[in-house]
Amino acid sequence: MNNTIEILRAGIYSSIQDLRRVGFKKYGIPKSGPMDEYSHILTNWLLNKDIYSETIEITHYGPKIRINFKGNIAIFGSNCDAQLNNKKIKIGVSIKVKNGDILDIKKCIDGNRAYLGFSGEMKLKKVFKSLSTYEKIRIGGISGTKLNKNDTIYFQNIKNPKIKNIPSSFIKRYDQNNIIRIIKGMHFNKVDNKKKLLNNDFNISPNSDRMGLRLTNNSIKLNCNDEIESTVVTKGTIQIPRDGNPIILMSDSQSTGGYPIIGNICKTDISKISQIKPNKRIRFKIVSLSESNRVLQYERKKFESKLGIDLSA
Amino acid sequence: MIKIVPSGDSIIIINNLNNLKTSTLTDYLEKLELNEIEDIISLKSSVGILFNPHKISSSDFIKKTKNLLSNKNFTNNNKIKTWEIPICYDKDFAIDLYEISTKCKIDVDQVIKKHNNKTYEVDIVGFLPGFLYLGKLDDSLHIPRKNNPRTHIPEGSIGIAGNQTGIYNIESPGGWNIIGRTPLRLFDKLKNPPIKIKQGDKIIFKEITKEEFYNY
Repeated sequence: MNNTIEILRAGIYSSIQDLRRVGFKKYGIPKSGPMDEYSHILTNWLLNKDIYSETIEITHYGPKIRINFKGNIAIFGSNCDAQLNNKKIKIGVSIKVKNGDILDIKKCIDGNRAYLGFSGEMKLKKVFKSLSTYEKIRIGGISGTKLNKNDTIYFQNIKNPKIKNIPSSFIKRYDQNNIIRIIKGMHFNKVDNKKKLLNNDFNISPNSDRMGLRLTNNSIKLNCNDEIESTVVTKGTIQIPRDGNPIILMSDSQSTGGYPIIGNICKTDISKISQIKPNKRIRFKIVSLSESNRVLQYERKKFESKLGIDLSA
Repeated sequence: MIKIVPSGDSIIIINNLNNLKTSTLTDYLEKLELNEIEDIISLKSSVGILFNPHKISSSDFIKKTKNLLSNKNFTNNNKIKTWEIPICYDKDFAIDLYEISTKCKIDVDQVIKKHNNKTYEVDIVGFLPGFLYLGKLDDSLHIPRKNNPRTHIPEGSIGIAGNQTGIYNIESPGGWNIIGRTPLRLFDKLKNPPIKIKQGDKIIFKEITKEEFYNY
């Protein structure tokens, strides 16, 4: 079938995601979208697509796909073992493909997720303005679920843009620096031992998913366990449930939460923490809100001047 | 005096509303259609705004919101609807009815009567898709959430916890004590908005039999 891709192997958890589901949290419907927005945006840039466009989010081990069109593809995010027609291909660069090509993305190496984009639009029905897969109520993707073997995705407006490379200043390694910057949260003062929170490492639990990352090995005691009134939460909010092991809310998280909030991860570091592998260690560093804003502004200017990407679009 | 505080770099929270209802404030803010706002979450006594920090910094956004709200005379909105929701208290659906009765030390019949004989107000919509938090539950029925949340609560289940009763409009895990079920499908993922009931609306439960439930 022309202008399609066929899923020959789905991988561990591959799902279609975009950044378009904005404005539905008031009904309890999460924004969903890529866990690592940074890599998603850059994958789209490689293909001359806007930052909101859909990609396939690959988790740990990727899919095998037959491509039935002539155009470009790109992979970015975690470094991964990828082949086109049994020949190794690079990530962070757009690649020409033709009818019948077989793309095989195996293991993610230094991080958890890689993003696969195509130089065409997926011909799928948007639900709540978006193609993002949210399995809980079976919306987005092909039929509300992650990709499955034998799925076919149709494309339209397939283009053949010029080959592009991600400049080296945008390439990150996820197995080296493990410092995550946070802004103090509204219940930070309830933390009993603030030194322990900041000087000790946490482990990323393998029991993490698109809803939240669970941290272990540095349980946080609170000096007051009174019930608190539910408040607004979002991606990057750090909650402390009763057992003291923090939960960092991620893309598919709920809109309100009743657990104490000790901090919020700076927006620029959320993509990074989503890539840190299970059982690896991280450490929090507190920065002020104005410092976080300076970092955001720096990133915005860098995207604008080097790539022509407007993050405020 | 209204207070506005940041929560991280992408949320601001509006507190201290005094007599102003959160639903009125949310309505007003939504109509402004500000480009930097992604979502407005209306809670019981506060309103949270999720915004795009690449479009405006939180300090500038707090200033802007303060200016928008200063010297503004709000009239609490009066477009409140009352919804009648059928509920079946049969033990097949009300899986915690006997436990509730034991914990509250009142007869099952009285539990049903006290739950049914009341007009509730929608406190919050959300948390889970379409979940409705309703207040205020009769004092005699206040019990905490279950210690071990269930992994699977059927769509339409109605539970109680603390001083609220709530409706699970999608199947999900949950820790509320289940007191009944409605055959109505209040959440429709194919519609926008997916749920018509709004914060501040009134809810009356109408008791139905199991036969009526299945024929609904």
